[in-house]
Amino acid sequence: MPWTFFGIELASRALQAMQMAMNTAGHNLANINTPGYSRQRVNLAATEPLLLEGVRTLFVGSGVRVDSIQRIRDTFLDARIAASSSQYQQFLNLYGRLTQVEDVFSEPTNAGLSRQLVAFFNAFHELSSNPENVGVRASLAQTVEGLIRTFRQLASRLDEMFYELQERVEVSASEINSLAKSIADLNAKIRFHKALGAIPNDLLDTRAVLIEKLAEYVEVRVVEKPDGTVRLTMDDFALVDGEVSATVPHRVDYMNKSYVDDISAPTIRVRVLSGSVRGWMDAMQYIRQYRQQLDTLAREFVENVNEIHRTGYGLDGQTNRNLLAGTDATNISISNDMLRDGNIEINRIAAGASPAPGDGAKALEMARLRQTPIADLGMKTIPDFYSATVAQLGQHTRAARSGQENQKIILQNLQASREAVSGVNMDEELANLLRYQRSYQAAAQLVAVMDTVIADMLTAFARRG
Amino acid sequence: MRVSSTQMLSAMQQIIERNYERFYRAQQVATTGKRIQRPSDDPFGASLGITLHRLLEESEQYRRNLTTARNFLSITEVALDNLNSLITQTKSLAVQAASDTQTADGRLAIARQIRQIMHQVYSIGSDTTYGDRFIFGGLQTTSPPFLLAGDTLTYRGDTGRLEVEVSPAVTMTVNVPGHPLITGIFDAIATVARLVEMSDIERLSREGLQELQNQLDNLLRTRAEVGSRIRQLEMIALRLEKRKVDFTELLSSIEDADIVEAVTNLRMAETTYQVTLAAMARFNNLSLLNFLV
Repeated sequence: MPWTFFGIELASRALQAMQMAMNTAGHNLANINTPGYSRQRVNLAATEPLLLEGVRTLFVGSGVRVDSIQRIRDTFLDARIAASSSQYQQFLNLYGRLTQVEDVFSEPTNAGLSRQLVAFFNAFHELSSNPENVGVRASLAQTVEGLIRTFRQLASRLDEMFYELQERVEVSASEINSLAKSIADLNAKIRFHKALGAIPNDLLDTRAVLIEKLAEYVEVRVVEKPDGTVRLTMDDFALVDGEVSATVPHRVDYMNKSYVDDISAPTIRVRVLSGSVRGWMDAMQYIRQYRQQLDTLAREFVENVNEIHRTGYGLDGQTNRNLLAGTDATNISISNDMLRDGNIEINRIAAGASPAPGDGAKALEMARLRQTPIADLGMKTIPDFYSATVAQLGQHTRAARSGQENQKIILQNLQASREAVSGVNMDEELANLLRYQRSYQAAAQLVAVMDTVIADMLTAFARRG
Repeated sequence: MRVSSTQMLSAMQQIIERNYERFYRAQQVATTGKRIQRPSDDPFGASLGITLHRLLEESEQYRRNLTTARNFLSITEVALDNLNSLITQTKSLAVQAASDTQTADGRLAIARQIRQIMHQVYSIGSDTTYGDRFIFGGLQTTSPPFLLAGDTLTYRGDTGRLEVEVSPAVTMTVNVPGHPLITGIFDAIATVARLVEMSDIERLSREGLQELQNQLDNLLRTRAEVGSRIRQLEMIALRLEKRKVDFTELLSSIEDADIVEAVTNLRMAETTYQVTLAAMARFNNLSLLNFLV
């Protein structure tokens, strides 16, 4: 027989263990909506049995203890989720921006440049059959102004989007740096606790959340080290190593999809493989590309229109005047040759191949420019070059959309798998709570019984004494 | 499979979002009747749509050009018809004047009538306009093409041709320059008038009448030419109309949603969305908590 209070001690150990188990269930329930929280499980174990040597040697059970509180987590899934989330964010953000570009081009609606181009050529067509008509000339002048306005608006809205993105990417660099700093700090704390033999479950969760947040910005490779710290690399740039975090430079080299310290002569280059930052960089490149195509179109439009217009005669009998000026989509304007007091002098619009007022030959030539393949537009006509750009935009957007949809499904499946392992189920925790409550009640009952036993024993001794 | 509570909720949320988006898209297609809302809905369709819109608007411009051409030619035709009857009138007056029974006073009266006709020829040539365009001045459309001083008619226009493009790569000359046609007629009539005044019956019956006949033949050729151009325009107008119908149909097949399909899709999306919401509402009521006292 062990010592007198053995039973009470056993019961009190059980009470403690059950209380801890109930606390853990409570902790799980409390964090049911905490993002990135992994459920924790109490691992119970029987305490060391008591060795009794008498007639026969016996092991007497001594009760229960909490062996560990385990964080239920599949770290392999974490790495895959981080990678998948980077991919998803890249397409999601690219798609989002390209949708805005589509809005800027506003095709196919009446507000788009395509209708303005058609209106321009039609106005000259109309002029060709009514060269001396003042009304036709006035409406042509308005059409030309409308076309120029549309060119400039398109260009400036594309530029606004480009610079807004550039700023977004630059700001992201400091967000990435601050996340890296936090992760390095957590690395330090985790290493400290681990060295003392305790596993800091909730710190691990917090770090996992930060890594995932970082992975939304840029793709990072995560390597876990035996001391509990993680090493994060962006391509070949070591972002976090143990307690040290590096600083990503904030200048944007969108053509090479990198952050650099100096655009012209970079000494540090951090390539961005995926993530929202990559999506924004991709969008910047596309927007620049559309912008350049728009510039080419504007330049060729101005040159070809002027070439015809210069050889024609206005109603005032003068020739060799340019209708348009400018070399790209932002500086395209009405030529000074045409202006008087800032307005288009409609008599100067050249319709004829001769000074005769009824001559519409040049206007007809202008109208036919729409069907002329132009070498600098890759042997495309002006309207076709533009609609090819729109088709290109449509394809880019569509590809980004389907990429986004596919990655979303992959990511959601991975997240579901992780939730299946790590997520808290309320019913399950409530059932656990009941289970441990009952055990607690039983252990309390045990204390009461032991108390009675000891009391009886004391009474018996008292009587004898 | 173990399912956590948040997983259940977030799955529900994702399904609701997806179904709501589908519902929204279906609604957009059904209300606008357009299958292509933006280029990415169908990049090739969108670019083809842009081209077809352009071709349609160009057809509309060709139709306007064609109307101009037809009006121009019709006015010319009427003017030429009037010239024709003026020559015929002169001819019969000349025949009367050439008669042996005609008195000298009678011939003078006839000559006065012929001079009036001369003036009418001049005013047809000089005053006929389409809108404010003088149609007989060649490319000089902004000023009267003839100047009359005594018996002399001076042409101030040119022999330029007004070309109007009425369908792709088809241009049509819509004017008849006043010279030599109207000057020829005027001169012939003026000659006749002088011969009548001079009572030169001999030359009147020979040269005068012959010259009038030449002018009539000449005019007939020009009228036939104008008439044939007008008929050609009618044919081209029909072709343009056909082209427009074809383009419109093609455009509609690319851009427009199949209404039956769109409405069916909308219904389906709506039903799916309702079912999702109902499922969500039911799920929310389930918990072990409901059974614990």
